[in-house]
Amino acid sequence: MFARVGPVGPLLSPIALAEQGALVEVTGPVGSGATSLLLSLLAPVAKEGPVAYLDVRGAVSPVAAAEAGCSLERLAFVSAPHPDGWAKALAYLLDGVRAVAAEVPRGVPAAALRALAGRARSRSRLVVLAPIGWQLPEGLVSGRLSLSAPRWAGPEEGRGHLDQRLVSVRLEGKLTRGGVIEGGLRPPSLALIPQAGQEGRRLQVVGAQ
Amino acid sequence: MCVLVPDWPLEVARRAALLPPEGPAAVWYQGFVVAASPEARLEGVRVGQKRREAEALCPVMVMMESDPGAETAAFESVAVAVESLVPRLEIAEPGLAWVSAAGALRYYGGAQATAAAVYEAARAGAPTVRVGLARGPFAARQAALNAPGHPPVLVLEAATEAGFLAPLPVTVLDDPFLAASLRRVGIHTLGDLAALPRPAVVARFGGAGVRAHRLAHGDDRLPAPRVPSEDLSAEMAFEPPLTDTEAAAFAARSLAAQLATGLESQGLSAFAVEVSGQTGGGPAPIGRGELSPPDPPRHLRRTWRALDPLDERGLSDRARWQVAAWADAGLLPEGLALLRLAPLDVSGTGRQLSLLSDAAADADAARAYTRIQALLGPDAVRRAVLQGGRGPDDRHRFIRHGEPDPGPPAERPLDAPWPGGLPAPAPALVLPRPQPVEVDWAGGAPRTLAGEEVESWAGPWRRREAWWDDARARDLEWWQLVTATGARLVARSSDGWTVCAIYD
Repeated sequence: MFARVGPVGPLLSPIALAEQGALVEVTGPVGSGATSLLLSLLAPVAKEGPVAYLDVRGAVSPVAAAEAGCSLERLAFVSAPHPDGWAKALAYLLDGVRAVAAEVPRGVPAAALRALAGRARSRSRLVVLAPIGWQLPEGLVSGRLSLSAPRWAGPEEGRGHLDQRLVSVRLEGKLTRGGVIEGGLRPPSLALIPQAGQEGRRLQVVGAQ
Repeated sequence: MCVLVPDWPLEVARRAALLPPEGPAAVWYQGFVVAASPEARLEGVRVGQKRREAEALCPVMVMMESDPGAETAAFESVAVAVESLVPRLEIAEPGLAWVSAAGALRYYGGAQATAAAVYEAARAGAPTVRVGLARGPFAARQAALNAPGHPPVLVLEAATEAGFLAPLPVTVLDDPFLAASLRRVGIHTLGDLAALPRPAVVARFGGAGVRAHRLAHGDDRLPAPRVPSEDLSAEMAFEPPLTDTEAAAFAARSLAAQLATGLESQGLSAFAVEVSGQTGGGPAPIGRGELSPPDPPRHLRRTWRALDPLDERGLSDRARWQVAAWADAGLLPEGLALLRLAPLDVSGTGRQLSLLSDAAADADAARAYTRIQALLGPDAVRRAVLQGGRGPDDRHRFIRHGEPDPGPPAERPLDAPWPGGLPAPAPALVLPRPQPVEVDWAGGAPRTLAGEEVESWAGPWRRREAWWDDARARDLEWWQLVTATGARLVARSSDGWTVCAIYD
């Protein structure tokens, strides 16, 4: 067991994950930064080719996407609020683009999700799924990122403005080879920040080459 | 089988006396070198270099812009000669053509005999032609390029193909990024690459690596054309037949536009197109009381295959060049009565001939987007452009995929300062309809938001909307409120408190 002090590097390398073909789930209550994280995961892959954000709520902000580093010329906003259309749209996207960040509506059957997962792996695509108000079935994704406890710096009693956020993140699943990675994130950066009390936990960087 | 005339544009320019017959010379197209003479190559000039780079390497070199129309016309005789022996030749560009020789082998008595016959036929129109025969187009082209001795014809049997491809350097794959990556890990030849197990190549190099691995094994094939489900070909009949090149060019352009629209509506792109024409039947000569039957109309056709999907411009160019080539060859004495463009290969497997390129990736994406729009409506796929603004919802505009950007509304330049606007970071979720919410205010500060305690807050950013319109004018204040569950952008107006956006 050992501890490292200071940022240990990126939490995930989306490019490496796209090359292998991976599915990652992002969960967390609204306000914990899930949408920003979806956009941050798309940004590096958007530098190399077309990517897409599959939207269910109709609320994602292109300005936030640009701030997260996504090239708006390469980012398509696809909107599919109903489960049937959503599954077909994602299947088409997996044929066409290298990475998709998708909000997942309630009511997509588990079999459809598994078929989409297989397609993503066989075509070497990165798919980041954010189920809205429910949880994906077990065994579908290779990694689950859980966000919690957002803490904002910036505003005071009326002065200042929202500036930076620190979110607690927990990554587990096949990607971590059985271990658990915990730490902090300051979106839109993907650099993992060890938090107080992390000494003694096994830390490893996932997906980097 | 690959029929290759190296540096064909140069040959054509020299025949037309546009370039001196000896000495360093090169031809460029769209800023890149497409052909170079041996003397120029000695100085380091290579096909694919930027024109300026080549000029710097060899300042005394004479350079000329390529004329694809003339090159096509000059290559036409070679193409016709080869096609008289082996049908369905496919031209990639003037000077490079492939044809599937499977059927002809038995007719001519074996691979060597077929290749030799094709060589003899092509030699009349192009003395420097080279012919290669292999199981797949990539290997056939390499064979044609490297055929030793005289005549420059090389046939690769299944047994000898691997041995031939192995020592070739990875630069022949025509993918400089992949070649550099391969060399960095010690893979310098196609043999080295072929020896690696495919799963390892996939893991390390992705899709581009798989394609290269296949080529290194000689496993590519001329794709079996996938014909679209409905007939998308575009044709036009001309009465009286066209004899004017300008009119023919115009017809080619409009047919190309029609074909391109039809393909896009189905979400398809064409990697090969067949240009076919019908000559006008000759008028019945009247003389001495005898009426001779008119000459029957002749059908001409030529297949063009491209490495990247053909867009409208690509279709129109090839149609124009082909019609001009037929006219130059004297095949249209009575004019053109019918012109037809038919998409021949609409499958993605057309890319077996090339490695991953941006154009192909964008074409894949465009196909996916078009399919989704066909399923869910045109608003289902949009892209965004930033524009000047202050609030969370007016700093961008959406444009449907496939439509042009109408530009910002005149009063929203991106580079002008927008004082009073919300500062970065922008909220990631902007609610399409602001939701009413309860905010308790005490002592000049917000205390609870929807029942949760407000931990910190900032604001207000004031805005007066539509001040010029008395009926619609209203005051708006934005506040950033932070609670345990996160930060929200909340607006206060005469309608009360609403949540506009969530900093998710």
